[in-house]
Amino acid sequence: MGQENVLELRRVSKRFGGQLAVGDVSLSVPRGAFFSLLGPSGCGKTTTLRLVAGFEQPDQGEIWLNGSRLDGLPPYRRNVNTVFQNYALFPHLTVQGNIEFGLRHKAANGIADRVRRVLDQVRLAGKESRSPAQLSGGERQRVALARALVLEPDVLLLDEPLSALDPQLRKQVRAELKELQRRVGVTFLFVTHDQEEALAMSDYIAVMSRGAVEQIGAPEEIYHRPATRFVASFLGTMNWIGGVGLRPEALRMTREAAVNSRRGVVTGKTFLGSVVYVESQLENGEICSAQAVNGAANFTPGEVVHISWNESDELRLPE
Amino acid sequence: MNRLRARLLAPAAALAFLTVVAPLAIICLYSFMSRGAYGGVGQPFTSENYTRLLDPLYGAILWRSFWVAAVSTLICLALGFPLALFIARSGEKKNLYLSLVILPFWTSFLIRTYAWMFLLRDTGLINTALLSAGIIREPLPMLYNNGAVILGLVYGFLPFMVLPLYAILERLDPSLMEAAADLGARPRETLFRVILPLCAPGIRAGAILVFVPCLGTYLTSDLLGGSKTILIGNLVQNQFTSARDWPFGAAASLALMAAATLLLFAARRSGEELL
Repeated sequence: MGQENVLELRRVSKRFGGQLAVGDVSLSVPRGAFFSLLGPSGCGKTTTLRLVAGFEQPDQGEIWLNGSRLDGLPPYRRNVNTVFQNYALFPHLTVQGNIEFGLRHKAANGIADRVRRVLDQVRLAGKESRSPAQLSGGERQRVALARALVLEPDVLLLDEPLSALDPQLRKQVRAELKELQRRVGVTFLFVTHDQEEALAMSDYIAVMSRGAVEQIGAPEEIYHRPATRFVASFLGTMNWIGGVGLRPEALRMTREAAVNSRRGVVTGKTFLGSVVYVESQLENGEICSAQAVNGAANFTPGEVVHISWNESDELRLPE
Repeated sequence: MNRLRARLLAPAAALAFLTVVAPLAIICLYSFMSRGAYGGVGQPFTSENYTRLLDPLYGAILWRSFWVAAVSTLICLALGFPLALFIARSGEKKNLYLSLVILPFWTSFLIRTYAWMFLLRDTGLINTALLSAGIIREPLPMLYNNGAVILGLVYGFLPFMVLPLYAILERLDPSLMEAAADLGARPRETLFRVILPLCAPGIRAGAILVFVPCLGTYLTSDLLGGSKTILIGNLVQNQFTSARDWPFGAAASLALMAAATLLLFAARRSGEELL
């Protein structure tokens, strides 16, 4: 992965009728990276993506692609392509027609080769003459990918492309998509509200909240060293004990009191297969969730426990 | 359940029989009879009414009816499509604009056609204004020609084109237009490669709803076309009134109906049906 940035947003803002959708957002996306915009609905991640695609124009700030200004250009003059949340396949065209749609302006020779290659890449060979209505959800998603990838965009924009799939398929497609991105080497700008998805797939994550970027970093960095309380709470589970943040896996539960331990009462358990989360209420009323390996944690609700941790695991974060 | 269905359908079925099937059967019978001495029909039975229709004079009338209806339909499409697209994209004002499209139906078509006469005739509003402004010296001949008939038809039937087009355009997923632009299509290309193909069922429905009544019109051509531009509808009307030749009028109206039905089937077969 090169260090050079293919896409840069510099202090970009966008309002819709006085309502701030994106406020002063700056991003640098390295070439070839899988870059995710993560946040709850209404955080401005989709608007950011639409600003890059050209469906919206920024009120302030600049967008640069490959060293040239992108903002101000209409979508059809930007070398970025989008995979829409609902895929937006043209219902009156076949799979082949959909994939060839954007190739019309390219040199005529080589089109057939490019279509064949991309069909192989997304494993749709043999389905060229189907109409979108005859495809499964997963196949439709792959047509949407192929239609965009065949144009060899500088950045591929993906707007929650997995949310329309059923949960079983989603995990499988997640791995496939990551593998495809690595193989093709195209830069992905991936919008999602699913933190697990972002952590599993991304090289970099920008966590957004209320139109602003809270933190940008690699998944491990964002998970272990969150910059704000919002980031800490949004990624994974976070306990707040006495004002400091503690991940469930940092908490130890014992039946006997330990040094600096807090006394609590078990209120419930969440069984997740290989691990169990044990919820307790501390004496000051705070609720915490501790992770225990399954089998090692036969605490029962109502039982008194002592909770302790290493000071080095404490996260002290600004409000 | 079946009995209930039969009972509920009976009134409509009876009405349809009385107002559609029975008169049609009578017209069919009349078309094979001879002209009565004082109007009406009489013996003997003959097919002469149909052979008379082959006269080039009537062929010309039928041909003119077809092209007037076709041109009116095309103009309705050319005007109606942008209008429907505009309304479909008007957000909260959609319903206001739609009611404006339907508003003229609240007044009789006859009165609205008279209003056009008032506007177009030599001493009408437009000519009077242009004359008094000194822009023209002679009144413009705007009434009693094919143009006036087409104008009246387009005016009268435009809503029948706009409504089915609107119904399709309003349901069109906006992300399809965005996807087209995203894949490099300019707005014009998006229109021709995405929007228009997806509107085909609406265009077909609108074209049928406009073309068929235009083909059979007699009021508009009678008032705005005068005696020079007689259409097949006027021919039928004249046979039943002034000419007092009911059998020939019956044959002409059946020929018109057959032609319109053939066209409808052709339109339905040329794509998936909507009507």
